[in-house]
Order: sequence, then C-alpha cells, then structure tokens
Amino acid sequence: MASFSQLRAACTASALLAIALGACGGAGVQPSPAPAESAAEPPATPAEGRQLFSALCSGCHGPRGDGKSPVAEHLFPRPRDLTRGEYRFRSTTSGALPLRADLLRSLALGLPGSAMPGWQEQLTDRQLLSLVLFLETLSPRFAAEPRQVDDLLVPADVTEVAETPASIERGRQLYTQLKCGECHGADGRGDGLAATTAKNSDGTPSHVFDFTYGVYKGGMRPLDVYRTFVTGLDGSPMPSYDQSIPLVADRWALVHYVRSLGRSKGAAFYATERPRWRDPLQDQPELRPAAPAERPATGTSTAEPSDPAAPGGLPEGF
Amino acid sequence: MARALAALALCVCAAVTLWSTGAQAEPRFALREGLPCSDCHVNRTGGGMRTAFGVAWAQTHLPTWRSVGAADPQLGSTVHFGANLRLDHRTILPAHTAIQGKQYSTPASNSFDISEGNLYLRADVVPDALSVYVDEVVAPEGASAREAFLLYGALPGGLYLKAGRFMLPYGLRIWDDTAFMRQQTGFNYANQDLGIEVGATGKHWSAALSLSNGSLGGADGNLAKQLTATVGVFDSWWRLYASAAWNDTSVRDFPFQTVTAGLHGGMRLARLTLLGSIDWIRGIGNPEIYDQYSLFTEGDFELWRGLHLRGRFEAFDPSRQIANNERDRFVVGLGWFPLQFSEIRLEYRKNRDIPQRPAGNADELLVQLHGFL
Repeated sequence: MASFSQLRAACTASALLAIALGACGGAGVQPSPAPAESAAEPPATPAEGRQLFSALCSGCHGPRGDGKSPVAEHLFPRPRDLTRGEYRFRSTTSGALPLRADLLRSLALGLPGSAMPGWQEQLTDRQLLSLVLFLETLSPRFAAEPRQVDDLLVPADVTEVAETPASIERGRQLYTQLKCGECHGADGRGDGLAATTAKNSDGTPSHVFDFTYGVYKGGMRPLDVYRTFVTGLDGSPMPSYDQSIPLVADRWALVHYVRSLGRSKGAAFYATERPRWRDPLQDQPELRPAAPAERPATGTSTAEPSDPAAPGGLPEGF
Repeated sequence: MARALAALALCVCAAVTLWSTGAQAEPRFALREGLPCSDCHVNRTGGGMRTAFGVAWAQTHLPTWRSVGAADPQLGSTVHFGANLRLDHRTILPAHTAIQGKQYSTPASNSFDISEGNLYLRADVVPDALSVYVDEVVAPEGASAREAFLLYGALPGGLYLKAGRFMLPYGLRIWDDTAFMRQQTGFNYANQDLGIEVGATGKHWSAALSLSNGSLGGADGNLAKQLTATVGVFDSWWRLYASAAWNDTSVRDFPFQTVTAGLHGGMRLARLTLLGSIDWIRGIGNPEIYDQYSLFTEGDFELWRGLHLRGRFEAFDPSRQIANNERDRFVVGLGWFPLQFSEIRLEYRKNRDIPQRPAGNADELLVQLHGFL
C-alpha cells in the first residue's frame, strides 16, 4: 500500500510531466487546424521554417545548416551542408537548383537508407513548405539564381514505361555500353575500379552505390530512379545521362535493369513502409516561383512530356 | 540444468562480447544504429535528457505510427527540456519452496508504482562550449537531483569535462535498475557521485574517466577517491567496451576497497540486437575478501516497426567462496512504441534464488507505460 507521501510524489510527478509536455506542445510544432478552419491558417514562412529546423533538423545538419553537428561523423552518409545550395535529388538539369517540389519530396519522404527521416506524417503541408522556404535562405544561390522553366528535366507526371524481360535485358546492355560498371561494378555492387578514387565536390570520398542493396535514397519508385539517371546527382561523380540516353525507352530499360539487381527482402521492406508521395504544391500554385517572361521551354526529353509553356504557367511541382 | 543454462548464456555472452558492444542508456538503440551514446544523450555516457538528434530519432525511427505534431522541446535556442515517466503495474506471483522438509512461501501481490519520473533541463550558457544540465527526480519520492553538472564540451583535443553530480561511467546503462549487473555493481540510476569526468568520442571509439568521492553522492569520509573508467570501440553493427572502477571506502579501523571490472558488448544481425555483459566485483576487507560475478544477456527482435520481442537471461553469484548460492532470472516480453514518445512494455520474469528466500523465487508480471521526451 502506497504511503501518502508516495501518492503525493506521484501526483506531483504526473502534474509536472503534464506541464512539461504541455509546454513542449506549446513551444512546439502544432498540428494544423481542421480543413474548415484552414482558410484562416497563416501562410508558410521562413521564420516558422527556422523554428522547425532548429527543433527537428539541427541535430544532424547543425544549427547553421552547414552539416557540422556532433553526430555528423557517425552518420553515413554524412548530413548535407545545406549552405552550399547543392542538392542531389532534383528534377532539374545538372547544376541547377532543385524545385521546391524536390525539396518537399525529400523532407516529406526522407531519404531511404540514410538517417534522414520523412516528416510527412508529423508535419503539415504548410510546415513542410516553411521548412523549404527556410532552406532557401541558407544558400545565397536561391536568391541569386531564380529558377527557370527550362531547368525542369523530369516532370512529375512523366509516363512510366512498363517493365518486361526484354526491357531488363536492354537495360543490361546499356549498363555495359555506358560503362556504368566502371564505378558501380560489373554486377552493380558498387565495386568498380573507379569506386575507390571517386570523390564528391567537397573533396570527401564518394560512396559508389551498390544496386544490389535495393534501397534508393532518391526514392523507391521507378520514377525516382529514372530521375536520378536523367538529372545526375549534383555534388557527386554521378553525371546526368540526359544526353547520353536520348531514347526514353532506353532510360526506363536501365531503370528496370538496376532495380532487378536489388529486389531483396530489404527493398520490399522499405518499399512497403514508405507512404505514397503527394505533392503539396499541387493545390498551392501561388508558392511556385514566377515564370520568366517570354522564355521557351526546352530540355524535357521524356516520352510524354508535360508542357511547361502551356497556359497556366509552370508544370506541377515547380 | 541451471548450470547448463548459465554456461550456455555465458557462451552466448562471451561470443557477443568478443564479436562486439557496451553502451549506455538504451544500449540496444545505440547498437542498432551504430552510434555512440553521446549522439542521443546530453550526458556523454548515456541516459537522461536527449539531444536534438535523439529527440528527432526517437519520434521518427521508433514508433509504429506517427501522429501529426512534432516535438520541439526548447525555449529559444538556449534552454532545452525533457521528461521521462514510467508507470509500472507489477504482479508478484506466489512462491513456495522447501528444503530439508522445511516449507517457505510468499503470498501474491500486485501494485502500481512509478519507477521513474524525471524532468530534464539544459541551458546552453555558451553555445557548443558550456552547458548547465540538471536531471531532477520528481517521482516516486520527493524531488532530488539525479544529475547536476557543468559540461564543458569544446576542450582541446576533442575532450569534454563534466563537473558536478553525475552517473559514473561504467557498464551498460539499461533502464532496469533491478538487473543484477546494475543492482550489484552499484552503477545504477540510484547511485550517482560527486566529482569530475573527462572523456572524448571519436568516429569509432569513446572513452571516459571520472574521479569522484566514492560515497554515492555524499560527502567523502576519507582522503581516497573513486576512479571509474570506460573505453570501447563501436562500428555500425557491433561494439565492445571495457569498464573498471576502484574505490576505497576505508574508515579508521575498517579498511575496505572495491574493485569492479566488466566487459560489455553487443551486435546487430538484421532485426536482432544482442547485448551482453560480464562483471566481476571484488570486495577487499581485512581479512575478508570476496568475489562476485554477474552475467547479463539480452536479445531484442524487431517483429515490426515499433514492436519488439525481448528475452533476457541474467545471473548473479553473490560469493564465489560459497557454493550453491547463485541467483538467476529469465525475462521474456514485448515492447511496443505505438506512437512517438510512448512505450508499452509487458514482461514475465522468472526468478530463481536459494530456497530459504522465497521472495527471490517469486515470478513477476510487469506492465509498464512509458512516456518520454
């Protein structure tokens, strides 16, 4: 039987914990109001993004976003230096800034196989956008280099080509012809001759991807792998194959082949865990950058490209 | 049979430690992620308040489901806070033993209890360089400081300095203080000490050395001090640590020293995480000397995201000089993190002790609700 002092202590503890958790909630990230109230919801702002970044992202990326944190050296891959304005997972041309939709995708879904978690379940669309807006303040590139229509290389609505045994075989041939094995190894295990000397743009050793792992940081869908081939990974030795593989069917064939190398239980585990991607910008066109006037759209070389120059301005997700 | 099981467990533990870890706090998480304790905890040797990374990891990697709302446990960029509360419901089953015709028994009982209730506060007085940290126990008894120290985090050579009241750097810092390795070595959440600690964490190693009163947090009654140290290496799927402590608590005509040493390790095999620890305790009096051993092995299998099946075997020999007095315990249970920052734990504990101690032979059923931030 508990003594009175024990009961009192228990009540005190419960109250203090409730206060602490309440204070946490008060100081923390609040769920968005119900849809009926969303009309009054404040817009996404960099200031809100800064607060979110401090609470949720600074543990890995450092308080200044430069990738310098106590845990950085223990994580693989290391957290990105966001002040460089250099992003790997984009749908834009090599060297161009990512779209906001690209940043949103990484924030919402995370980067599978890395320490970067997805926040789609816990943060509202507005909060994710606030984070994106804050990320854009970390690098002067975003202010100096307005994003252009013809930066877009892989529209979100690109049509996927179905996988067949023939397409996998064609992909295998391309893998050999394009000398992918020099880095990724003949069997796709990331053990090619160039793998040992490959370096990133910041001088750090580059970890050449092992396709047999089957978990893709850029996303688990075939479209995500397709995007990586077409755009390349800025900051790493992985180039864009936009020009090297002009035929859309060949691009998909290569996607089918490399995915066939990584069909492991682990890949299935990750694939089933990830929620489906939903682009928050679809309903908020006002958050897309303004289209430059009189600029023709080029550079989309997909089978059924969307029309960036169509009435209404930019394609979805820009 | 018990000896055979103990030998088997010893082999498993030895294999585990030879292959691999030792860690603190919830060591199996550190092991699972291949990270040092300091990545997730403000206290560099584990336990207590979580870092920004630890909070982010706990709310994204642990739970089965995640509800809308992410924790932001800070006021501005200087003051950070956290909390921990464990509510237990423990049922002690009746036990009946007999030896040489004499019967011993203990009745059944059950009780609610708060096994842990703490509030944490950290103030970054000088960012990246000096923090003030307080870990305040607020339940089940009156408020008291479990830890309160200054942390100088940016000394030359990557060293840190901790000064104040803190848990000494020894062994696996698991949550359960009733585990023999925690209870019998004295390195547990109930025992802190006053002193200083220096340490460092590298890419694949960490080390800490403390000099303290050796009086369980009280004023020292003699000139001698307690030395405690831990050092180890870790990688993405294994780790191996060694810890040792020496303490002289001699008072006038009662000389007494304690030497404690242990190996702690672990490894991760896909969704299975194994932990092990072997500890040796020597008490040196005049003329009496005794040796004690404790063994700890634990396996954690993640059945599904957030749902863990756990098994544990531990043993304790209170004196190598006396035969047939060993105690051991088997534990099987489930741990489930349904939502972020919440855990439900269900455990069945089978205890074995000498027949003359029926309470030590009573099995237990534990249901625990755990909320943390």
